[in-house]
Amino acid sequence: MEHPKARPGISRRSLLGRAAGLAGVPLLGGLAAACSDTTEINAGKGSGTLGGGGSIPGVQLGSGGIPLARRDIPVSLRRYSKLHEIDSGLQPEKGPLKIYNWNQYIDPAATKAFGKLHGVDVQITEFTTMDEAYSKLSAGGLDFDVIFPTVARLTDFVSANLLLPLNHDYLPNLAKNVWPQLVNPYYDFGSHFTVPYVVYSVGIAWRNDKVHEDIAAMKNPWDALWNASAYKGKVALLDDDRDAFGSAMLSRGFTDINTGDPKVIAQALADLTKFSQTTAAKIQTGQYQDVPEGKIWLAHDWSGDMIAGALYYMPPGIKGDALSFWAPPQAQITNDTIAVLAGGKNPVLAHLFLDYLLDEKVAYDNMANFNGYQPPQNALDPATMVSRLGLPASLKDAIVTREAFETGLAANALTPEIDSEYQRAWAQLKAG
Amino acid sequence: MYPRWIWRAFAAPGIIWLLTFFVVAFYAIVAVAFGTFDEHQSPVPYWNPLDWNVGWFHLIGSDLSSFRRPLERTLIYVGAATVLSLLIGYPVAYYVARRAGRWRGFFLLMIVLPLWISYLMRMLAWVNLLASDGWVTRGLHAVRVDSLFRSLHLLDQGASWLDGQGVSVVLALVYGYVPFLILPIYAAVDRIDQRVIEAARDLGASPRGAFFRVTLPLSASGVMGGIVLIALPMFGDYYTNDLISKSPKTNMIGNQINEQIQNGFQKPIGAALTVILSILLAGLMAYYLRQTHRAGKEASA
Repeated sequence: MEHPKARPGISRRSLLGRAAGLAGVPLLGGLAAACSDTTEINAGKGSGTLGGGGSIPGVQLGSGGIPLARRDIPVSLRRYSKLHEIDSGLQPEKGPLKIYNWNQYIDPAATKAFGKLHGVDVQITEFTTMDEAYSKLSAGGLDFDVIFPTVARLTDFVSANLLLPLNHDYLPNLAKNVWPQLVNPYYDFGSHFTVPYVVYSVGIAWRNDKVHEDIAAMKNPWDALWNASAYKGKVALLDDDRDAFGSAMLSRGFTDINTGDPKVIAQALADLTKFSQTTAAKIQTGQYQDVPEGKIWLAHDWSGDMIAGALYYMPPGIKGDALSFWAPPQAQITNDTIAVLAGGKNPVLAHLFLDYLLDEKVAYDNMANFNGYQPPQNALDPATMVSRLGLPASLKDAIVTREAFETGLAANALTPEIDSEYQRAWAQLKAG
Repeated sequence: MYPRWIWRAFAAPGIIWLLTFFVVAFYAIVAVAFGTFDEHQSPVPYWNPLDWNVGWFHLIGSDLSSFRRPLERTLIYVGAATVLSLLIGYPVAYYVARRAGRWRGFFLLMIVLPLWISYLMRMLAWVNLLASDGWVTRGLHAVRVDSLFRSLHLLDQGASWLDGQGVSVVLALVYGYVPFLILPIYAAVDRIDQRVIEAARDLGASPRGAFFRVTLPLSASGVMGGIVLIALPMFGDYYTNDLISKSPKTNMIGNQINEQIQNGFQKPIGAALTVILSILLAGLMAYYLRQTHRAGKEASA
């Protein structure tokens, strides 16, 4: 089947093919820029021959002709933006600081305290999908100052010149407090556009008073999810195509969750379809509330959901130790980011806000008092986090350790064709 | 005498409203459905019909796997919900119009009252009432309605009402839309001249005969209007399903459109599906208009 995009004149494939051909220069530039930022990175690692022109084996191009970053292929995004950093030493603006965020993703007390600190109003506007946020911002005319982009869509924002490059003079907390691997993350090498917000893994969450298998002790715990017909109607799958397909692949021992192999995607779709049919699984993102409340007993879920659930959503009479979470040793782990928007009127204030959220106490309080998602802070020792937060031992897997993050599998940005492939498969799953 | 243009000008606010909020908006959807997308997953509309790209419609036609079952389900759910709404709505409307006496105002208020609360809030209330330990679930269990539904294979064995059950979605649709059916039927029955029915009885019709040969045909326009009023929005409904089920096993075409429109590169497919659904519904609407036009002619003849 020819793709519809192919019909009016030029095909997407040939377009990208040409882009790849032409992109020898920027591609190499991007990688070289990435590599020149540090000596630790091996210039040739994962990127094939850097000397020749044309395509580089193992490196694919995403939107804006930007090489797709992987853990072993760090990419500096700086050269793909036409914008410039603000000068150092400027006074913060008078606000109001306008924040554009996912719904319920930041403690209102944190934003309020920041407003008080700088004598400004802080306004939060929420979006529900990255697509929605990107479409509205790229249409122009909005003056939000701060946004929380996903790693997978970052290149879209940068190549559309929506993000302001960061001036690190305003961000001392980044190098001081944040896990080293996220001070210089592979997806934004040099942290030219983002600072990390929270890290989380994908795993299985369950109410251990309703589900009687010892899931964590099983040979392949994913089977507990796929064979959950006994809990029909009380099972949920994350409404996130990449996270769902990634888990299905991992359960078969396939770790390249960014694959474009149609056979692997088709197998994952078949597995998920069978699962959805036999369990009448709900495809949703409300697990943080539904699992504690017992509407869902067994769920594919993000780690932070169960921490928030244990801290805030337990119904009367049921303790947090009724919740369990499991993630594999090599789990799907990723992080969200915070960035400054170019269209905002308060760039200095926005920088200060980013730095404020990287403050150890602010970051911890935001997790412990509201959000449940873990900030990658050096001072927050995962080993003591469980007791410090008062979490039950059954949720110890919900804390992401630095080592786990290091070997974690991230759902990264894909080429438009492969992304389309996943989205089509997802629509088929949803057709039921 | 006023010049004729003055009277025509009365239509201007309505026409401007329609042009801005329907025609322009709908054309934007059409332009996306016949357009393409850019590398940032944003749709690129083709405004000029000469540029139109019919690829998305081809794609939908050649690979129905994402739409066939939702479409079948939509037809079944909307059909069942409409029939059920009629079975509930007609007797209520008839009673209020003809038999309620001085309670008529009260009953009308009771029918309209739920509409003062947002649809979303009412559905969310049901989500709690129908939860495993919800009052309604317990009540239905006490009178064995759940066992009855299970023995009729309308409810899965061991499943509760909110566990991705098609029957719950149909009942929720009925609940959400039935007032909109009752009101036009009420108006139609209320308009029927009492003397026509008396004449039928005088001419020897039984009460049943008078109802089926006089009242029902004379209220047909209200029934048709009510059906159109509830069936059209039910065809595009997705949030009832999202709240009551969330399982792909009950997804309707509205859910699938919503999914495509939020799903990156698939947005033009969502727009194309919207256009296809609109054409189908426009067909239904045209049939309704023809029927009411004909009924109007017969009535005045």
